[in-house]
Amino acid sequence: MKKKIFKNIALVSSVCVLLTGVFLCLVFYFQLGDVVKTELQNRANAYIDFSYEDVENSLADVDESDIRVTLVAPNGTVVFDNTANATTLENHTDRIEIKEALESGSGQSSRLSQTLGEETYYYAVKLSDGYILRTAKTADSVLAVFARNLLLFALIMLAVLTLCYCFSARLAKRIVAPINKINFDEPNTVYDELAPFMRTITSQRSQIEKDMQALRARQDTINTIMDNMSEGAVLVDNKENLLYVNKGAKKLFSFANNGQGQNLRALFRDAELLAVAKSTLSGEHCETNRNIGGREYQIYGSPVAGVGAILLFVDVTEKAKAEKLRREFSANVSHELKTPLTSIAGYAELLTNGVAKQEDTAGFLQKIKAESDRLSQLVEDIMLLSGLDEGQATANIESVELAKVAYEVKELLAKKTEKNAVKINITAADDVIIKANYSHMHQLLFNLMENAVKYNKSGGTVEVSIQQKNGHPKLTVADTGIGIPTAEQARIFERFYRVDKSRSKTLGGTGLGLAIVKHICMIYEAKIDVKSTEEKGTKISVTF
Amino acid sequence: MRNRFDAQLNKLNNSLIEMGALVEVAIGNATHAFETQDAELAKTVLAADDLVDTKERDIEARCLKLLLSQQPVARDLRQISTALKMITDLERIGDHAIDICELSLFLSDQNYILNPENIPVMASVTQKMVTESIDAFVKKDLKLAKAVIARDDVVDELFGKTKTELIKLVHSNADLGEQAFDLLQIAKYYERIGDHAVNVAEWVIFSITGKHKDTQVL
Repeated sequence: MKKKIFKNIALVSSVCVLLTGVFLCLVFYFQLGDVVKTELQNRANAYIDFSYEDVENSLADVDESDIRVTLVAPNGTVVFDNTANATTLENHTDRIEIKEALESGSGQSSRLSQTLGEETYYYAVKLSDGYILRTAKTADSVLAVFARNLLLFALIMLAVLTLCYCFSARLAKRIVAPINKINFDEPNTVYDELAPFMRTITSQRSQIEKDMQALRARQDTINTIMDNMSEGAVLVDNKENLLYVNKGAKKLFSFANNGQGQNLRALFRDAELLAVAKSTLSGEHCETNRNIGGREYQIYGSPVAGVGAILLFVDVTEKAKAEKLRREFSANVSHELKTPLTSIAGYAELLTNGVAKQEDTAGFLQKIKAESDRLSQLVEDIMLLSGLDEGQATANIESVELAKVAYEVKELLAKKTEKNAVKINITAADDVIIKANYSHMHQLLFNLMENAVKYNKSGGTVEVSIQQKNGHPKLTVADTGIGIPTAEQARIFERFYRVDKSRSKTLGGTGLGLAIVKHICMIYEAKIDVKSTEEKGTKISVTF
Repeated sequence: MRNRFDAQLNKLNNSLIEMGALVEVAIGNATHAFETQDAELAKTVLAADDLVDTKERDIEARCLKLLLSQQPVARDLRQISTALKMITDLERIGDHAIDICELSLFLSDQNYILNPENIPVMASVTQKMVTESIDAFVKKDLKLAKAVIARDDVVDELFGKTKTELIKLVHSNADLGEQAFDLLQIAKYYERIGDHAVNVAEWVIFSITGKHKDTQVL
């Protein structure tokens, strides 16, 4: 800006100075010419009435050394010259001023001496005797005037340019200062010329502000999502440097700092995971399962075009466990269903083929009946369980008196208790009533009491106690049976789990009893507590 | 020029971490093979030892090349010399993992004579020391490196306990002598692994501070 202003001002001032100089020189030159001409004319006219001799005489008296006076005879011969020897001068008839004077009485002319840069002015008058008197004076020509003043011009020019420079620097500063101080929040324009510019900037500023806010909000949202998701997410660039590690991933690899710019290996150095990262960076979608810190993770790697890759760590421990349980369950179900069916099919085949002896037939039929009973019991239990699974629980809620149910179950188990020589003692507080589905309570007590009878020793007892404790109904079934090994206690509520697989055949049962108990307890938000000592007995309490 | 050097140092660092990871896996698997008497697992560890050795040679060559061509000073020199020293210890740890596997393989069809309580504890402590010493290197974590060094006493104490237990057993029944020796050897290998982890940690401290075992080296 300073340069530009300086250039312009300097140009204008230089042109001004130059033009003024030229103009002044011209004016000066013309005026000087006029002055010289008038002087010559006056001096010449002073002799106009003189004759040749008079002039010669008076010239001897009057000092006319500042001008040149020449006397020319009418034939053009120079007869006198006060600056040169008259005899050496040539004939003057062809001189313009002489010619004019001869013709009209006076004449003038000027001649330029190119080498000297001077101009000589001439004036001639015709004297009374026909002689011509010529006066002449030499003055500077235009160029000479100009040349003489050139140094002055140069000095003036230099001064002007210096002034211009200082001025333009200050001007630039003064023009720019208010622009620099512009407060875009209050766009009171400094220069009217800048108003449209200011308007554009202000509107752009507010647009940028808005966009930034939107971006920040989006960034916040993304960060919140990334940090609050339980999966680990890691973003790496093409050089395997970390760009972003979310909270989940930091926790997974117990990584403290934010990791930006660090190598991926600072996060994990598992060879297989690094291989996943590498192949993802080469542009492949990868998926693998890996055990990290005792939990099962599914790792997804997706290339991100132009950035690198994103790795997602999804905890699939529960899923894997559930998957395993389901597989086990279906395997168990098919096995449990198959066993009675095989017996039934076997006996039925014997009967239809007529291979069976007449006296065995009744026994076979009884066995078929028993096996089909077992089968239907199993199917019933499975249906009950899946019903409980789907949460059909809350149907048919009524007030159930637990003691009453216990006595009913005791009746049902009468045959078994007799066979095993086990005694059931029920101690029930009055009015222990809970809101529940009657058949659920029945199932709960039946399964617990049946187990207590089944896994009891001959001559043992089953103590059933129903009490109100701290405002909560509490049901306890304690037996004096074989007990459950400590290691197995955690698993007894699993479906089809049997502590002693060899015993299940002789004792019957589906292996679903305690699973049903657990599910019912879950529905009524009851707490199950198992205390068992091997060979001494088991005590299971349910607190509602 | 400097950029290229930095990239080379970076690569060296990554290789070192990878070698650490290999050793970590080897010792983890060796311990598992010993505890569960898994002969197959022990064999895979034996097979993987070549990887560690190759890596060691690779890193060694890289270090020497960098020393020759770049003539590093100050921190760069520390980093390279640390790498050069660390790989020796890492390789020794890998070798001990192999030794444990070989013995486990030999013992895989015998019942352990003592309920090996102390040895698994030793195993888990030393394994953690190895992991943490490599972690300290990766994260340039001075505190972690010092923690590793402090934990060596625990391992030494456990080794002492195991030794007395085994001596008692042999006193009671001289027939148990052979296995007792093998178990003692395994315990010793773990103790040695702990020592090497301490060495690694000390080199990590050196690479950060320039001090090795409290003496200013560089």
